Amino acid sequence: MMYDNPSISASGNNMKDSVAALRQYQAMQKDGLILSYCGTLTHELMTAFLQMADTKLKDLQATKKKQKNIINVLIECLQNVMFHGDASKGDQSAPDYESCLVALGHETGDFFIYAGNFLSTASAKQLEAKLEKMLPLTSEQLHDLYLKQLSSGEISDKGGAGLGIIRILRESNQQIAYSFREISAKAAFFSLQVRISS
Amino acid sequence: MDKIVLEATSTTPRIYFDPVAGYFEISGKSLPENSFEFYKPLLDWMENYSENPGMQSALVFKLEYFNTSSTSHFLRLIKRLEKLYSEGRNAVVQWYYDDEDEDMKEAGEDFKLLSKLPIQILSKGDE
Repeated sequence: MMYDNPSISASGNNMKDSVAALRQYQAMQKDGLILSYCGTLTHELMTAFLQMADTKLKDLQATKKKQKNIINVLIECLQNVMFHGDASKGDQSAPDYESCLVALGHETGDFFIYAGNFLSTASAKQLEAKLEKMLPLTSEQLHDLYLKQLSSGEISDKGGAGLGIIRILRESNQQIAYSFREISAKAAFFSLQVRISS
Repeated sequence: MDKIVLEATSTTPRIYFDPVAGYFEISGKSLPENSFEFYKPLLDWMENYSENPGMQSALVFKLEYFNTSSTSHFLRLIKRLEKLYSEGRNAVVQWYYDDEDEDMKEAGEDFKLLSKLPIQILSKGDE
């Protein structure tokens, strides 16, 4: 394996390495994280993440219903961050904008899914408007919207007409939190937290 | 017209479309990298089949997981069969779910709301 930073692989720095790992371990423990991925996401990595999450949920003896809820939300979150992380389009100075974060956490019986990705300012505004419109809806209204969008047939390679977001909202009983942080004049970072409770 | 048989992968379902038996089954996980690319040939195939359909046609879903972009393609396949049904042909959809998978059951019921075709929602346990 190649290391970009020789000081990390140097044998004299073993102690530093283990301390960094311990710090990382403690941080993940503190946040209740059981699985996390940071970087550019590909279809292969998405599949690997889902398989690890599936195994982990079985280990934790989550009920079958919860396992399904969580995997369904993860599927949509992973696809959202993979397909909609569009901040670097036309901005070659920001290649890292394709990077994203996806994580699964567990705390006192509840599970949390975290997803974050960069978006162009225009996409961020569109998404924010969509979320603001959908969040106050009752579960019946969300269901109606889902059926309406599904039957409209508006689909593209990237998915379909906000069906993914509606599914996330329905699977979590609308227990989501989100934020948009401005990164530059052209880009924002979208953070989403989804709670799956008993 | 040839059968279509595609083995399942970790993100695409097993496909078994048999024009002679009029039996079309989609089973497993449907999370294709590009759902349009995956389902377009199946929709085209179904289009050809409907020009000269068998006495009866059954579209059978036995899914474990699917993404929302797949659902739009499922609906298109169902609508294709619905057209045959409205022309007086014998056509049915069978939507299977695991007893513990309420979401999968509801997904089948959603298609029922969106189609005039007989859609049977069946427990895998009763197979």
